[in-house]
Amino acid sequence: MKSNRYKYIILALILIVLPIFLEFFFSNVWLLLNHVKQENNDIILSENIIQKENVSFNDNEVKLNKKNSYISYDNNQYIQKLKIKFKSKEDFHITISYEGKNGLTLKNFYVRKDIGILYLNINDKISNLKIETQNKNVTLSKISILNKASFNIYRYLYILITTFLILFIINFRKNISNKMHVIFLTVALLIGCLFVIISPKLAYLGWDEAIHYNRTNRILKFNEYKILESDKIITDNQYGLPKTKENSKLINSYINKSNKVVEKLSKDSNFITYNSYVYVPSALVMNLASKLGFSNVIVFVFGKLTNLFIYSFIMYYTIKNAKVGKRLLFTIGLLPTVLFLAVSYSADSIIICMLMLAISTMLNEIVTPNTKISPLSVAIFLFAMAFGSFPKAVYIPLVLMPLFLPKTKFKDEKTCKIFKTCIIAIFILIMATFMINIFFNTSEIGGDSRGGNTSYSGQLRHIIYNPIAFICVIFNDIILKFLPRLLCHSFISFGYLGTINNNIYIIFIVALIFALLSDNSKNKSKFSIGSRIFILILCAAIVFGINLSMYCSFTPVGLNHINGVQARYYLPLMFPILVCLINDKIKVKLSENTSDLIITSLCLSGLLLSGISLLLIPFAL
Amino acid sequence: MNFLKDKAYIIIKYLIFLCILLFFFLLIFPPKDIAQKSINKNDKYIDSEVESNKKVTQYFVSKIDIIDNISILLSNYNRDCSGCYFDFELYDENDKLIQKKKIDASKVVDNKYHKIKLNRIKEAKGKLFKMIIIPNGCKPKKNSFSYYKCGIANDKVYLIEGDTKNQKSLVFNYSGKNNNYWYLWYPLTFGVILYTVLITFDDKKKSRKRK
Repeated sequence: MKSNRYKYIILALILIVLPIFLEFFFSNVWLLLNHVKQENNDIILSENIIQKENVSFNDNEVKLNKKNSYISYDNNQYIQKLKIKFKSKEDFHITISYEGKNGLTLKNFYVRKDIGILYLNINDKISNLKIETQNKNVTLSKISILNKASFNIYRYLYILITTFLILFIINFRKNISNKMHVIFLTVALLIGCLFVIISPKLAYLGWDEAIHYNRTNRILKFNEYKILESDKIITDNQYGLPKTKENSKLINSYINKSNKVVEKLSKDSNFITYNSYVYVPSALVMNLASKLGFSNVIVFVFGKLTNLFIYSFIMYYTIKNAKVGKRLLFTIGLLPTVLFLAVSYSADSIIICMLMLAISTMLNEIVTPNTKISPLSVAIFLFAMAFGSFPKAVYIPLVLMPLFLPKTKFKDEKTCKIFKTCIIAIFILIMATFMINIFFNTSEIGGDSRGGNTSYSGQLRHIIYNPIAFICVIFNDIILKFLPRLLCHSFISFGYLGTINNNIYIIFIVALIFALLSDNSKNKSKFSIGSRIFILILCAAIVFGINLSMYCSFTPVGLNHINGVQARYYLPLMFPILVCLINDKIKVKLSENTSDLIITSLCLSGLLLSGISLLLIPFAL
Repeated sequence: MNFLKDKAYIIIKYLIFLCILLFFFLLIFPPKDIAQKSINKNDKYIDSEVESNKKVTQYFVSKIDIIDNISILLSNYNRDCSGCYFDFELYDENDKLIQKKKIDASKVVDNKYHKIKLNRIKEAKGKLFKMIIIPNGCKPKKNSFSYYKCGIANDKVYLIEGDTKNQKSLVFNYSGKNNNYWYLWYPLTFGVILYTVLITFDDKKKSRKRK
């Protein structure tokens, strides 16, 4: 008892001291390594400029009079961060270039006139700093060199949460296998919140995030409603993302101040369509937060957090109750792309967690053939399947999973037949929402408005007249691109922020293979070969459906490849495909605790490295 | 536990009954704003439908009295559009052509609102208009049909008095435009799901309930 108390005191001390020490180290290390005196200096523009074109001086301000006017400053010194103040009557483009140890660096910015300040992380000894404008009449009022160590709250939080999670796992290491769901919830919520805090509060990070944000923002507004300037700023991607913590702070306060109504819109229908329900929980929280008087940025953050909480708790329940493939669920649930989607305005995270819940619930029934099917399992499976397929009906073939349930699961043969007939009816009903648009849309024009010269009926006509060419196109695309998409791109892609350049995805491939080989579920032997083949056929049908739908809706008519198929569409299929590969023949013989500890460590390290690489370094330093 | 299961059984039965009632109710009394098919000037309704070939037709009821400009969303997908143009036609409620304009497709900024200057329309408030947009003069390129989907993303139309004064936007929602009865899908699907759950309850609970 006493030793436990000492242990917790030591852990608490480590948690308090270590992050502060590390933050102090990271904030000073570059300045110490480069032997730089810690000070902030303003550059006296009238004295230090070595080259100029079309500029005029007024006190210490420089007016860049024409398009392509520039000034150049050469002092060959270490600059950690640069602060440039502008004045202009309109928004303007600025190009900043300098020569550092990696050669010439050139960066373009589009600056809002209402903000007029730009911070730039350089962290290098540079020469020939050049500032060029693409607009007329831009005044450069101040350039400051910031070479002083400063406390970075985002980096501190990152270190603090990392330390906490490591200590948390060390503390649970002896009975970790009973706590996988708790560890998932803790990791997902803490790292998810961290991602939300350090990422820019703008809605163009994730795939089509601006569209999803607008839908969330507007779904619970009825009849005539107002659009605020802040909503336009949040979704307007032409200004780019803020690349420093100071720029983020400036844009956040600008968003908070922009409460002017810029547009009044009216809806012709207040009905919430089946494919839009995913936005309702976030919309409810955002509306409530807005009514309670929270600032625009906080309302935006609440919308993201709602998505994260729904995702985390559904996955928590799924992992807790899974009888087979628990480690696979844990690993897939913590893939960086999946967690990034959960903290974005997106329908994907809800689709993924709902489908995982449905599949896992039905697998629990499949691997227990001697017990009667539970009504609760059927309800969870069907509702989760329906809600997961509402936004993208292409996943609905998985609802056919119970067709392979043995008769012994039902009270009599008649019930078994009625049950399976109902399952087929649900499949047809939900599939119809997807297929009606394709087959009954007789127009020449149609398809996805983002896809260019597309046409549902035109593409279908092309398929009917050229069936062999179509089969070649679709199989070529599936065979050549399915595995790379599933195994690499779908792991570590953060939407428009890109993918990590190094090979972090290998960590997750190792984790998934390990999860597959180390599964010691008692019931896995009862997972029949027939059921596995049937599930794999359903997954193949979904892959075909995804490619077909993108060929019809997103690909210009007659093109010999398929446009628009993204790796994230395959994420919900990862669990059913991999769980069918679990077997007794090839397995890793380690204790449950050791296996779970390895999986947790791999997932956590991959997730934290992805966050550092794609969020912390680019946006929060 | 059995008590809860019995209660769940009864609740599901009532919910199925409710789904059946809702289905027939919606079948007999369809929601006005969704199932509307005919268009008349009293409806606050604007929709987009493709009539034939490349033609996009939209109906709207003006909310302002004087219309000088109309702003619509056009796409040219950033292609070389020299020699291509869009025909814009505006009809009054008697289907009489009142304005006709030709829009140079090469001057359209892709996926942005394009303002079309009209000859002033007076006393427009409450009147029904029909707008037709036809992409013309664009030859098929490479292996595609190359119809420009002009206006298909036109989920908003701006009617403008003067240059910027009294700007009113009309929003239409074209989801489900091909399936006017999609709202019936809710009670139908949920009814079948609930029935599937119901049949998995075992006989004992039913008999307990009967007692």
